[in-house]
Amino acid sequence: MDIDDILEEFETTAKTDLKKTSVHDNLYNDLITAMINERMAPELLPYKKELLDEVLQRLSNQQQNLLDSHEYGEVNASSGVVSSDFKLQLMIIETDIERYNYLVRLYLRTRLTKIDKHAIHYINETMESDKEIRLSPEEEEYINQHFKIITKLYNNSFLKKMPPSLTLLDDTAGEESMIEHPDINKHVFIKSISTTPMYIKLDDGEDLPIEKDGIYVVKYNVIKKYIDLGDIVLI
Amino acid sequence: MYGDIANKLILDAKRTSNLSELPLYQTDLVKDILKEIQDLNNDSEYLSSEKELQQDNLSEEQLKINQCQLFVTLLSMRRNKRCLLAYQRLRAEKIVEFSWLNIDPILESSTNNGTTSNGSTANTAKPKSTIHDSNSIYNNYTTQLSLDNLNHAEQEYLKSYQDLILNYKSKFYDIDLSGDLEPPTNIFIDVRVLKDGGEVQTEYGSFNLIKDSQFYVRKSDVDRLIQQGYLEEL
Amino acid sequence: MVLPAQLQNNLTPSEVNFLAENELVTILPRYTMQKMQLIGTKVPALRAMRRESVPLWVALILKSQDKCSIIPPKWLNVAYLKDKYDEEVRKPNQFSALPWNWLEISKMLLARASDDLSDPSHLLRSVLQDLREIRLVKSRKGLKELNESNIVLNGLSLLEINELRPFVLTVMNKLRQLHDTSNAQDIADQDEYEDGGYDDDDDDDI
Repeated sequence: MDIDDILEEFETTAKTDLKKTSVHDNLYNDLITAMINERMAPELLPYKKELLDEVLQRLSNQQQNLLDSHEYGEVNASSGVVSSDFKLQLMIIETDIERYNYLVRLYLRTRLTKIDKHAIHYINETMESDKEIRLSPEEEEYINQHFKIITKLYNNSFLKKMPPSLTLLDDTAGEESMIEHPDINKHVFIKSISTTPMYIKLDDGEDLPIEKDGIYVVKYNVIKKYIDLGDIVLI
Repeated sequence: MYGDIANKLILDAKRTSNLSELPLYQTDLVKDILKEIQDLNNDSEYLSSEKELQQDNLSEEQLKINQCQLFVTLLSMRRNKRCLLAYQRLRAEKIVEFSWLNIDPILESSTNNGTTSNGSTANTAKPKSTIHDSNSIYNNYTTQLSLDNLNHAEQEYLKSYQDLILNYKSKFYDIDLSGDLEPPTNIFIDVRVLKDGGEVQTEYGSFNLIKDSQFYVRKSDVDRLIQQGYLEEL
Repeated sequence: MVLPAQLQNNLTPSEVNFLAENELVTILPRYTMQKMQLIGTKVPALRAMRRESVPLWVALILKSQDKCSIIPPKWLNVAYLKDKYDEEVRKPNQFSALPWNWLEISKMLLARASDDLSDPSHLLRSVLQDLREIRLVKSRKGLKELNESNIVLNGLSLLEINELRPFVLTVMNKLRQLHDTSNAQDIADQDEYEDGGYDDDDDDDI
């Protein structure tokens, strides 16, 4: 096996990946969009399962390829077969891996932050069967476990030492509910990526014309559905 | 006045939110607030029973006063509870932050040797360099944790949370979820050798430390050599 | 929190830079390199002196090892940018069309490939600075017209938007709260109960 074969290897694994009907012709842009949408949306968006599965699969393959290539480089280092150009290519491949790694890391941790922030709200939601599923199975496990241990913390620190009328954590009696909900009326920055012009209905019933590439600041709830449709991205 | 002690707790929380570490748990304040809640609870029970018993003997005005007192008492109790929750939530959030760094907390014993920073130098090669830069995204992020400052329930929470994210992370074994949150811009850098040394082995082959020679290398491979003064980044 | 507070609902300048590194640029290779399959894209086979289009971050790695020169984008020269500046002066109520990452790309190319640019660095820097300032003044003027509902910012680049974000969002959300309170007051006058929907008071933001 020589260097050409090695580089060929990167391509064949990628091709077999692609055969599995990739719906993402621009994986990187889709991942960036998913990450930024999640960062800027006031509520948790549905988990991008297909996208993440594909990214994780390809990342894993590419990482294996890189390991194999390093091994090849090590074995043949003394013979002088390994050119500096080959090394440079591996450096580019490693940088690419790190860039994806970083984006996935941000995406997943952003979601956990939002899940923690409104834990009771999302736990209640997962129990309503008619609601769409936002959480991945891993996130659902996380939210339930985290709620369990944080409840234990509140209980042991002070709740259990309080009069019986006050020992509930998700107390909604009285003036103010102690459960926090995401504020879907918050303003967000949006960019239109729809090729056709469109109108958005504002709260007061007026229509806001949206141009392609146009940039606007609007309330999240009036454009929420266009994020799903892919006509609008948050920025 | 009722609520004053809880206010102290909130001030402590406000200060804590700007720290990169978690200060000592306010055991006494929390105890005092719980005592106050108990007192308020006794008051409210007394007021309710008085209302029940004397319903017929009290004038309409006296009834109104009773009702008002009861209302304020219940509100004060709930306010105290909110303050306790907010205080504990902030501390829990800081414990969460620290747990994601994947480094060891400072142990009780290390304070004796006069090297309190031991805990943080023994950490795994995580974003050390960016952590101490005041402009970094880790500004205000909890980067140090002394077990001494946690109450017993918090220590237990820390341990359970660490287990919890270990489990979550194991589902994504190709992603370093505790890795740096600064974008990876300079993974490979040009370096110049400042003083002679031996041979350096990396995944990308080996090179010799000969003064004034230059190499293009992976930054994480040479971080130590830069710190030790063998190399400088160009 | 799992994510540092600085990263919530905001992009850091280094992130904006990271995003810009993904834009395609044209390079003139100085050597031959086989094509490479990256995770989501392909770097075409490179042949000396044959132009190819690659992501900026790949171009910068090749450039740093003297393996290519970078062809500057058509907008990155003094004449073009001067034109844009004049347009900004001529049309006080709109922003001229510049690329989504014009500030970041010009910054990176000036820092790491200045020898490939068609004009001297100091001239380019100065016209870029002029352009940046006149747009900044305009966007501040526009902010005087902030309201509780919506605003239009067509033509601004990501970095410029990101700089406006904290101020714009704080003001608009405050205006919204005022607006909602006065509306709620009206409704409450007519009806004892009101359905507020989601209501997020920021009590816990201590």
